[in-house]
Amino acid sequence: MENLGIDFKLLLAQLINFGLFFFIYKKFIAGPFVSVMKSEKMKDTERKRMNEEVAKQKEALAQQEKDSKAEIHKKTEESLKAVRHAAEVERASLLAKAADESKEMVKRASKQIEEERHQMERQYKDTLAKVSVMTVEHALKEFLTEDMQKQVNAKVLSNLENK
Amino acid sequence: MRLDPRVKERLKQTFTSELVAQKELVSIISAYSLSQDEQRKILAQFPQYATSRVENKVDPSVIGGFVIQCGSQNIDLSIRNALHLLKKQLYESN
Repeated sequence: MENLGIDFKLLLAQLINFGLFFFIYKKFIAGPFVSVMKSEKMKDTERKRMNEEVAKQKEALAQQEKDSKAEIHKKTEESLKAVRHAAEVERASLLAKAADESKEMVKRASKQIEEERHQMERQYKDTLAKVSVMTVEHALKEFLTEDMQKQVNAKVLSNLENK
Repeated sequence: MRLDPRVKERLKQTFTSELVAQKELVSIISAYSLSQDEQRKILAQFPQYATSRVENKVDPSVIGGFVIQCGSQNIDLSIRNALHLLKKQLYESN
C-alpha cells in the first residue's frame, strides 16, 4: 500500500479530520444555515399566505364596498324617488290649493264687482231721480204763475170733493 | 230733578192753554195768499176744523196746492209733497 503511495495513518487522520470537519460543519454551520433557510422558507410561505389572505380580504372589501355602494345607490334612488313622489304630491296639493284660492278670489272679486256695480247703479238712479225731481221742482217754481197755482188748488179741492 | 209743585202746575197750565190755542188755530200754508173764498172752500172739505180760527201763511216752497196744520196734525196736499212722494217712490223702486 505504501508502494501505491497510500499512508494509512494519514488516511486515518484525514478521515478523522474529515469526520470532525463534517461534524463541526453539520453542527455549527450547515444546521443553523438549514434551519435559517427553513425559517425563511416558512416565513416566505407565511408571507405568501398572508398576501393571499390580504388579497382575498381586499377583494372581499372591494366586493363589500361595491355592494355598499350599490346599496347606497339603491337607497339613494329610493329616497330620491320617495322625495320626488312627496314633492309631486305636495306640488299637486299646492296647485290644487292655489287653484281653489284663485277660484275663491275670483268669486270674491266678482261678487265685489257685482256689489259695486249694483251700488253705482243705485247711486246713479238715486242721483238721476234727485236731479229729475229737483229739475221739475225748479221748473215749477219758475214757471208756475199764481193763476196756475189757483188752478192747482181748484184741482186739489175738486179731487177732495170727488173722494 | 224735582220741580216745585207750583211751578209744575204753572207749566202744565201754560202748555195746556198753548195746546188748546194751537188746536183752535188752523194754518193753511200755500204758495200765494189765499182769498177768503178759497180758505172757506178748503175748510169746507174738513168739517173737523169748522169752528177753528184760520190763518193763511205764504210759503213759495209749497209750489202749488196747500198744507193744513192744526196742532200736531198735518195734511199736506202740496206739489212739494207730491214731488217728495215721487222722489221716495223712485228711491224705493231701486
